[in-house]
Amino acid sequence: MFRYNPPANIDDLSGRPTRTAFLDAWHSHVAARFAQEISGPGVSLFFSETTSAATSPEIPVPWDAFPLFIRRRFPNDANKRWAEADVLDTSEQAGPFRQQDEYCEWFAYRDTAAGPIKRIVFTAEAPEYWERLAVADFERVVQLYRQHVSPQVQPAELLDAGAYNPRNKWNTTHGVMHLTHPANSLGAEINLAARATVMRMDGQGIRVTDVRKFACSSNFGDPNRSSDPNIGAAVNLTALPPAAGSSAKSITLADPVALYIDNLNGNVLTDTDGNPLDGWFRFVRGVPGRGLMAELAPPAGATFGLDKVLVVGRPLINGGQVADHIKMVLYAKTASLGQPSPALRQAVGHCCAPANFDPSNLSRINLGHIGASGSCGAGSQEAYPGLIGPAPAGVAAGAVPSVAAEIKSPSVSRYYMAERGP
Amino acid sequence: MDPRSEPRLEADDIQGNILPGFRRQQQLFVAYSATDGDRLAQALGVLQPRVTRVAATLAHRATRKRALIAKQAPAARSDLWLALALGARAVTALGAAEVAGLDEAFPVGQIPGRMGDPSQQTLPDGTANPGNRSNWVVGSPARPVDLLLIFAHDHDVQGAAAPLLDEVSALLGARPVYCELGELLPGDIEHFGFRDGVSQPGVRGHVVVGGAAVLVTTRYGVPARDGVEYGKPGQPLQWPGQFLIGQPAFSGDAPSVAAELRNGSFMVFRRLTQDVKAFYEDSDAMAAALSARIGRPLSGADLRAKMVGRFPSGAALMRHDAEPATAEAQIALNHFEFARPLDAIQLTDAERTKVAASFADPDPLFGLRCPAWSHIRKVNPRDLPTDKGDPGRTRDFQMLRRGIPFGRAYNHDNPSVPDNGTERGLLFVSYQRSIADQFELLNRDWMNHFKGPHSGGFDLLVGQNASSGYHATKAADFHSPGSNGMPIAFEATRQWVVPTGGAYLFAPSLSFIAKYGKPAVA
Repeated sequence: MFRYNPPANIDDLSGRPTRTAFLDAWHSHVAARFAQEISGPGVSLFFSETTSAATSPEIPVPWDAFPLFIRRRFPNDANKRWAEADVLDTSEQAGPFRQQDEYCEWFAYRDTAAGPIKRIVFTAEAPEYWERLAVADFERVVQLYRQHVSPQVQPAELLDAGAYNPRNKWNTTHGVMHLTHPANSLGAEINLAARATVMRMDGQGIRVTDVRKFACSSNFGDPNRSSDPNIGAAVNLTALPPAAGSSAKSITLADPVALYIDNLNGNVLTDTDGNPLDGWFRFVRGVPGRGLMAELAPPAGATFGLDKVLVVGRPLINGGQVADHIKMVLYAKTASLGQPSPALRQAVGHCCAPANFDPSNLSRINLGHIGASGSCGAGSQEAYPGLIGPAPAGVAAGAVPSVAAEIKSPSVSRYYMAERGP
Repeated sequence: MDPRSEPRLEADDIQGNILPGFRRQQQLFVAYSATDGDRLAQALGVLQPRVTRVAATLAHRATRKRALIAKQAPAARSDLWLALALGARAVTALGAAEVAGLDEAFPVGQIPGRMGDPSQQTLPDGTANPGNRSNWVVGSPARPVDLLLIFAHDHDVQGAAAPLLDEVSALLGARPVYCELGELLPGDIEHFGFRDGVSQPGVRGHVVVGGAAVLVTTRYGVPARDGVEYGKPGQPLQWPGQFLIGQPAFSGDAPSVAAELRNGSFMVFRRLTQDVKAFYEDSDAMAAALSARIGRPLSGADLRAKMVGRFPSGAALMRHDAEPATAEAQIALNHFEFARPLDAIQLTDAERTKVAASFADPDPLFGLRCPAWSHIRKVNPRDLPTDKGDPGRTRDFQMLRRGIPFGRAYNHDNPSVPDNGTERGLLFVSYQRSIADQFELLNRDWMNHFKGPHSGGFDLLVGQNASSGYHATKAADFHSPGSNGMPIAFEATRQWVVPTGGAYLFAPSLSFIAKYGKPAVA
C-alpha cells in the first residue's frame, strides 16, 4: 500500500518506540493535505498516489535558493542584498521569521557577534515535519537541536505554552533548524502544485501561459519568487502542454514529498590560492538531490577557517553569498488517468505594478498580488492589463467560480516599490 | 516609428564592435601584457583616432543589408577597423580604478570557480591540461591580457594593422603576447558546421548619423507578445543599459556614472578550441548507440542538430522537422518559442517577407522537439520558466555576441590532410553590462549545469563538467515521443570545445580613451 514517507526518507526515530506512530501520523498528514487540495475548485489533474500510481519517472523542477524578490530590490549591490536577506521579519501572530522565501533558509554561526563566521547552515526542512516530530517525540527534537544547532539548547526554549514553537530562538535569532517563513511549508508546496494544474484564461478567453502572468492569475504562491512561478508554470505546462493535439496528464508530487536542496554549484568555493575546497559543503541531513540540511564548515583537519574561503573569487562574508550558488529542487510525477483536458477558468488573481511602469521592465519589479475582485490602489496599475475580465460569451457558468471560493490562502506577497531599492 | 522616441546613443562615443558589431571577413586579435600607466596612456593616445565607432559599423550594416536584398555578396572594403579593450590591471594603471567597481567579475578574472573551467593544471597522465588557464595560449596568469586590440579587414588585416601595431609596440616597450587571425568561414558557419551568430538581442536606441536619426535595431512590424517588442522575429528589444554602462536599463532609468565611463561595456573574450574530428566521431557513435536503445533510427546529423537546437543552415528544430531543402530566409530563423506555437506573420521589410508559423514542444519541460540540453535552449530558453525566474529574467541575461572563427576549416572529404591536425576554434567575444550577471550566469549556471535552466542535461556542445578539476563526461537525458517521459541517459565522454584562452576586459568609450590617452613622447 502506498505511503508518504518523511522528506528524503529521513529516519529520525530509528530504534525508538515512537517511530511507527510518527510515520503513520506523517503519512496521514501528507495524504490529508493532498486530499484537501485535490478537492479544490477546478483541480482535476492533481492526484495522490494513495489512489493512483504515478507512471512517469521523476520530473525535477529546479530554482535558485537566493530570494528573487530581494535580488530585485538591490540589483546592483550584492553586499546589500546579502545583508538584507539576513534581516528577520516578524508577524504579530507567530513571531520572527527569515525573509528567505525560496524554501531555503540559512544562518551563519559565529562565536561572538563580531567574530568570524564559523559555519553556515542551510535548511529546506518543512516546519510541519518538526511540529509533528515534536508531538511524537519531543525528546528527540531536543536531541536533534543540540546536535545541529547548539548543545546549549534547553527544552523549555523550544516551547511556547507547552507546544513546540517553530520560531523559537534556536531556529531564528540563534540558529536554524527548519524553515520559518510563513510561506515556506510542505502544505504550500502541495497547494502550489495542485492549483497550478488549473488552466487559466485572460479576459479574452485565451489561455495564460506566460510564467509570471500565470502566477498572477492564479492563487498559488508568490509571483515575485523564482520558485513559485517556475514550479507553477512547470506543472501547468506539463499537465497540459500548449502544443496542438496535446492530451492532459495528471500530475502529483513524488514521494517523499518535500522541497530539497539540490546542491551547491561545483567549484565555487576555493581557498585564497584558487584551489577548490572539496568537502567543505556537505549534507548533514538528506543527500545531494534530496538535501534537507547542508553545512558549510571546515572539515576535520582543515588548517584554516571560513574567513579564508573565497566564493567565486570573493571573500566569504555572508550566507546569502553562498545561497547565490545553491540550486533547489522538487520532484513531480505524472500519470495518464484519462482525465479530459480541463476547461479554462477565469483568473482568480492579478498583479499590480507601480503606476506608469514600463512593461519591458516587468521582470525587475516586485508586484502586488491580489484577488480578482480587488483593485490596484492609488499609485499602482495593472501589471497585465486584460488579465481580469468578464467571462467570454459561451463560457459555461460552472467554469467561472466565485472568487471567494478560490482565494483560500492568500500568499504572503509584498509590494516593494522602487524606493526600497539601492 | 520615430527613432527619436528611443534613447539617443552617442554614435561617436560607442565602439562599433559593440554596436552593431564587426562583420568583416577577417579579424586580428592582438594582446599585450603591459602595466606601465604612462606607456599605456601613450598607446591609447595613438589608438584613439583609429578606434571604429558606431557610425561606421552601422553604415556597413546598411550596405550589407542592401547587398543581401539584392542577393549579392557585399563588396570588400579596404579600410581597417579597430576595437580595443583593457584589463583590470591596465585600468588601474591608467588611474581609472573605479572601473573595477562596476562589475563583480571583471577584477577577479576567469578563474575556474567562476567559469567552470578545469582547475587541475596537469592531466592524469602528467601532460599539461590545455583547458586550465595556467596553460592558456592567451590570458594565463603569467601573461594576462592588459590591452586587447581587435582589428577587422576584408582581405589583409595583418598587413593593414602592421604599421599601427609596430607603433603601439614601440610605445608600450613590448611585443604582443598573443596575435591570432580569425576569418569568417563560407556560409557564416562555425567549425562544427553550423550557422553561427543567428540570434542576438535587439537594442533600443537611436543614433544621429549625418543629421538623420537611425534606429540601432530595425523594426519589421513583428507583433509584440506579452508586452515584449521585437526587431526581427525572435529579437526582443532590450534597453541599452543591458549592454552599455551608464545607459538606461529600463524606461525611466537614469544611472549616474562618470562621463568617461558611460558608453563603455564589459567584454568577455574566450578562445575556444574545437575538436571537429572528435565531435563528429563521438556524435555518430552516440547516435548509433541511442538508435538501438530508442528503437528508431537516429543519425549523427540528427543528434548534432539536437545538440545545437538548429540544423546546420540555422533552421530551428522548433520550426522544421528536417533541414529545409531551400534555406529559410535569415530573418525568419528566430521566429519560435518553446512552450507555445507562434503564428505566421508578415513583415514590413521591402520584400514583405512571410514568416511561417512555429511549433510548440509537446513536452516543454524535457523538450521532445528541441531537447532541454540543446545549446540554444540552454542559453536562451525564451518563453519557458527557469530556475532563475520568468522569461523576462532570461531576456535580461542576454549578451551581444561577436567573435569569429580561427583556424582552417576541417576537411571532411579528406580527413587525413595535414591541415586537419591544426588547431581551430572560435574567438568568442561578448559585450554586456555585467559579466557576473549575464555571461557567467549563462555559462556556469546553465551551460555547465545538468539542472539549469531546466533539468535534463549539460550543454553537450559547449558546456563543461569540470568540478573534479578535469573535464569529465557530460550527461543528458534523451526523451522520445511515446516514451511517457522515460529518459534514456547518455553522455558525451570527450570535451569537444576547450577553453584555451580568455580574459575579462573593459571596452571603453571614446571619451574614456580620449581622457586617459595622451600624446606619445618622442
